[in-house]
Amino acid sequence: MARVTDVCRHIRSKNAGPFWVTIDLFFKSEALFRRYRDSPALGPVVFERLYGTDPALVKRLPVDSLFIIKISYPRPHPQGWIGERDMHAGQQYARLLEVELD
Amino acid sequence: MFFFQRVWMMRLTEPGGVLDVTRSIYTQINDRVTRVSGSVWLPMPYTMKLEGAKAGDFQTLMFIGIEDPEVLANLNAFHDILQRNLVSRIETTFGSEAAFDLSLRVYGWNGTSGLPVPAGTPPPRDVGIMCVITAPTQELANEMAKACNPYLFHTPLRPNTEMPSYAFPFTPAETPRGQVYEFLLNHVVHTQDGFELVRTRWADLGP
Repeated sequence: MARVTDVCRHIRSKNAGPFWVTIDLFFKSEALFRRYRDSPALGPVVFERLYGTDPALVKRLPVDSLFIIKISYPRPHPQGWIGERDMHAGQQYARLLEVELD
Repeated sequence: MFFFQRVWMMRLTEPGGVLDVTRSIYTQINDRVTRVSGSVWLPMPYTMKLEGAKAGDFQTLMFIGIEDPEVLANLNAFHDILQRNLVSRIETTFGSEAAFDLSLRVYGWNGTSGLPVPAGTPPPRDVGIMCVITAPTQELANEMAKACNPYLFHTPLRPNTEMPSYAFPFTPAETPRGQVYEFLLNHVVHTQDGFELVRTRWADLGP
């Protein structure tokens, strides 16, 4: 059972403007990238479950030449709202690490 | 840098054009240098990005540390007891119509995400609980924090047991944090040129 943390050499999250978060997944090898490039295990429903975002708005961009998948989603609340816990979204990737891919 | 902090990086919208990097080729020259070629600049009507934040309510913070093993072994229950206790204290003191928000963040447990912790997770050795009170004025947020102070300090895990005292790192325990600024505006404005919306004031610094 491979988890995201098993197949990526680096994973990061960051604010992309005040209304979006973006997550970059850097795969360990071309083979692993190809295997999960279009995997539904990294689909919009997962982002809805983990981040409470609207699945219809989740954007996914695989970059074949770099073995990277970028996934961006709108924040459920804008940056800086009264319940803010992660202003620059730098720790949002953590809950993705244990997601099982197959 | 095409990737970092961008939602989408194949077409990069800039004032006066779009940088299309769909067909860009990234070639590694050595360990520190990458050559990028094949990017295309597409001139477009001039636009500027307009972002703005709204000044909202005011916050006051308090913080306690806890090493009591029984509390640490029942953190979810303790969070809920404390939350109920503090909210009820504010409603009793300021009236049930009082506008406020009270948030407890248990750092060392789930403070960063606020998400439920899976059952069976071993208790930590130490947690810090940050209490964030939000109210329409700074004075009100401060007064609400003061009213909550003894309850944050002394709420026991089980009713009718000896009153504990948790670890305040500061006294006074309340820290006014100021106003909350939440992002609100996100627009693209069409302008004739880059200076239409900009006010320039020249200052002569010569002798």
